[in-house]
Amino acid sequence: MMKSKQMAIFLIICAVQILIGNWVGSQQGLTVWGAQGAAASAALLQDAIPGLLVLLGIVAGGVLIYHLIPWKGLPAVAYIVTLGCVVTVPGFPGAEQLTAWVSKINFIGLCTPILAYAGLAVGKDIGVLKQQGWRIVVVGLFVFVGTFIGSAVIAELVLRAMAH
Amino acid sequence: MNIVDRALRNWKLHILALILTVIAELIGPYSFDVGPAKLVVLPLLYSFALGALCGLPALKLLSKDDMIETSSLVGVTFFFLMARYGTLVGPNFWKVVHSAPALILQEFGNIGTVFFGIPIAVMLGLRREAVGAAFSNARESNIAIVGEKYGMDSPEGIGVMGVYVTGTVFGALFCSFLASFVASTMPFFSPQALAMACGTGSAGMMSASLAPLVKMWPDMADELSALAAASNMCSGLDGVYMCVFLSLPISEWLVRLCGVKEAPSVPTGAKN
Repeated sequence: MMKSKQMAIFLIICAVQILIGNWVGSQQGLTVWGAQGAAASAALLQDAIPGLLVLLGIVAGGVLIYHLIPWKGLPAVAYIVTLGCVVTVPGFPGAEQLTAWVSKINFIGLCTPILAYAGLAVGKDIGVLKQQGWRIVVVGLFVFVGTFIGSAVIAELVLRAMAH
Repeated sequence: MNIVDRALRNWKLHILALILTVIAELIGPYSFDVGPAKLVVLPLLYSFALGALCGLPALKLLSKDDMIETSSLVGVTFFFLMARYGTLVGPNFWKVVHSAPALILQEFGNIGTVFFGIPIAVMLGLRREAVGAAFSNARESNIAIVGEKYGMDSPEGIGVMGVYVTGTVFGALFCSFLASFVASTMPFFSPQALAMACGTGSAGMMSASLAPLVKMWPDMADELSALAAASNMCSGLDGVYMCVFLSLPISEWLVRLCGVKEAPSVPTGAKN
């Protein structure tokens, strides 16, 4: 696990990338700039900032809870996702406002910088993959098909049974 | 200076990640038809593929050290995404609770890996490697299980590491195409069932397979994302128990049925 200071620095770097990616992608910031000028485009960027700060708060809160609980059976992300869920459940004070703010951050767009880092790191695994051989790769792909189809079939059957 | 400090100061990495993100978002989502299937490609796949291309030795852009430093950061990049997933589940909380029976039972579908994977593995000539490779989708917690039960230097350890690496290299691309393919060619499945199937305990693969579903059913985006995130959370919680008590014993039984008679490996430390 990273030290708190390292994590804080990196979270800020991530936040900047998310903000810019979100602005270029889901908010179409550059198109708006061309059509309506820089002010309108900057307003879009500003719109996303409260949501990003809320997410940063949820991440910080989740990590803090992880550090405070002596039992380390769950990873920090489990607390982060749970905290994010709790503060936006209808009925939680301010849940609607928080939901409205974070909705300005497109969640599929959030994955773009994450996978950029994953892609930059992936080269170090290629050697291992060559060493393991193609057969394991084929098995791996069937494994992913198996878990997807297996879960989908059961989910579909149960959903249909519940509808009756 | 430890590896994370070096990674944080390595501005080349952060600038590259930013450039790739901007390029990927500028290209934007695309969908195209391949025979009867509709494939959806999204910025998250471009940024991954472009990042992987940056690692080509011929480009001399990234050194081995750069890549190892980057991988020390990858875990934390998911924090914002997990926070966002939480905020998708919250507003849909009661809808998710209402689907609880399906969500819980579909977890058993993860055992599907065994019935698909073991016979294929044995057919391809793997022996004890088959158990490690096919008992789970080989994410971090599954590696820990194999390490403890068989040892990492065993054939089982080679199997689980092979599928783990397959997942990091091809997982996002493959799962994304798999989900678009199934969603566009098999009308038997409702979008909700497919969304639940996306959650297999890996946030990266879940997002990659959920993305095309959200693109195909934009009106249901929030509900589908909440179901996928909830299913992923379930897999994270029950995954270890599911593997230890169900999928690993079933794998051991099935691999013997397929004709692999060698005894399971024992971790080196545990031998007498």
